Amino acid sequence: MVARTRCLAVPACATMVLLAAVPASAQIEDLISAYTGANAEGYLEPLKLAIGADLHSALFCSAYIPEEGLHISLEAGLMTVLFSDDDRTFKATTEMGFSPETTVDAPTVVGSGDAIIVEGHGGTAFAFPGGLNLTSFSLVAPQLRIGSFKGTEALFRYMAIDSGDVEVGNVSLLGYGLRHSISQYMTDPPVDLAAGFMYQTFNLGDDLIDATAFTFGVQVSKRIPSGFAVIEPYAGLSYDTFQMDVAYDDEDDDPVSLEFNSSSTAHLTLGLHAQASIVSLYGEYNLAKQSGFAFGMGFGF
Amino acid sequence: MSNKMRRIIALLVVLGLAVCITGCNLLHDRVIDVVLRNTYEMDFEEREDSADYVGDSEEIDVAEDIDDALESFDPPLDRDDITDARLLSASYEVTWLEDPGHDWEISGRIWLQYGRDEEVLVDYSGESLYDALGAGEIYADLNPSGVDLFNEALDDFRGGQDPILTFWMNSDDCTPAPSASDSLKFNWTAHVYMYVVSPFSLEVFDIFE
Repeated sequence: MVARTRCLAVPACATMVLLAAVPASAQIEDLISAYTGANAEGYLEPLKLAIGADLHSALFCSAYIPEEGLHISLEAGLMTVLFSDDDRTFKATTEMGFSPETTVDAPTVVGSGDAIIVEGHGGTAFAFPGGLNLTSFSLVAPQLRIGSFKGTEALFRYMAIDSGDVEVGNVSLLGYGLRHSISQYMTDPPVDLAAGFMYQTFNLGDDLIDATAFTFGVQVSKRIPSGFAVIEPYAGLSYDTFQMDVAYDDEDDDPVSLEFNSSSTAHLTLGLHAQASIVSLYGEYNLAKQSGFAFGMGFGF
Repeated sequence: MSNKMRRIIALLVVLGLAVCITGCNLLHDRVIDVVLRNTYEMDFEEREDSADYVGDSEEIDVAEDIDDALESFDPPLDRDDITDARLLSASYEVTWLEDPGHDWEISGRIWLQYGRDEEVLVDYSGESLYDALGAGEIYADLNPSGVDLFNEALDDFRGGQDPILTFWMNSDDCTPAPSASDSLKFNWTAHVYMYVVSPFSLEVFDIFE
């Protein structure tokens, strides 16, 4: 039986980073309150893809799962996606009877901060709001990994913050999943193999963003002892689904509810895990519809 | 892979994390253009006995709603911050019609007064009240001189004034012509849409900037 450490977290730090990482719900509401319908969906689409990609990252950093014994690790993953130029604009169409109806490239929520003004008939004009001008979007997810029973471990992600601050809004993240070792059934396997699933819910603000994420897949890794540390390249192939609903009040205080189409994507993870004593660190690249990086640390026994 | 190489990789991972978590300036100032849209709604009741009439007027206080919207931000936005404010569109909606058993077709204008100036905002011609009732908002082609007068009021608002705009309609033709025994009675609502653009400063979390 090998005592293992995984990715370490400092919950207090994670809480602070998570608060900073999520764009303030009030800010997003201020920006999208000028939009309804298709424009609101186009405006928020990059944020939807980014949240989905972040939630599906940093779920594992090894395929090795001991067959038996108590193993607990407290972890934190910092998940980040980088936005491309395509994410920064969307095809926006004038609303509210503006004449002539005009379609332009307007900033998304991660796009330029400059508003786009469209001139209309008779001196009228229409304005599209700017975005937050982000190059990346990050989330920190504190998580607890508990094993092992017959080569199976459970993973929990949980965060609930009632900031009491209108500028940040409430943030909550709840996730749970199971992984099972496949390589335990093999005789002297050259690599470790595992398969598992993860279900997560993410909420921001008072129902501003309500998202659910589900993924299942397989992982492979190879533990390479190296002096005081163990180096472990790992990879994973999974199928991710993500659903996000958005609710807010428009500028007339009328409720607006957006139900984005559920998105699904194949997801390839390539990473490197380093473990020394009780501390471990990892970094990974996630190739999917929205690609990104994740870094994590953890400690445990 | 040699032990030396493995240690270098491990060290790079550790350094990368350290730079990202502690070494970067994670919070960045942003100035973004927020757009506030405002709708003014005015309800009118027309009770007319002739084809040529001037309806009652309604006033709107341009500053009232916009100031409230600006103050809803934290920190509050100021009129001086506004970079653009203009009329976006206008519509009318017939909400009630006393049906005498026949349709009414009316032609006339919707007027706008600001200060000493009066301009036509909307020309309408041969408008069937039967068709308009229940059709919801009907967006109007706006008269440039009326739009200019509205935008002038918005400019004065940005300059610190509190403009009051007055709206009314007049009819110069109605078929059939109303009379004391066959009065034209209907209610309608005018919707006037405008927007304000203002820069707003905030901090965002962005690791890779």
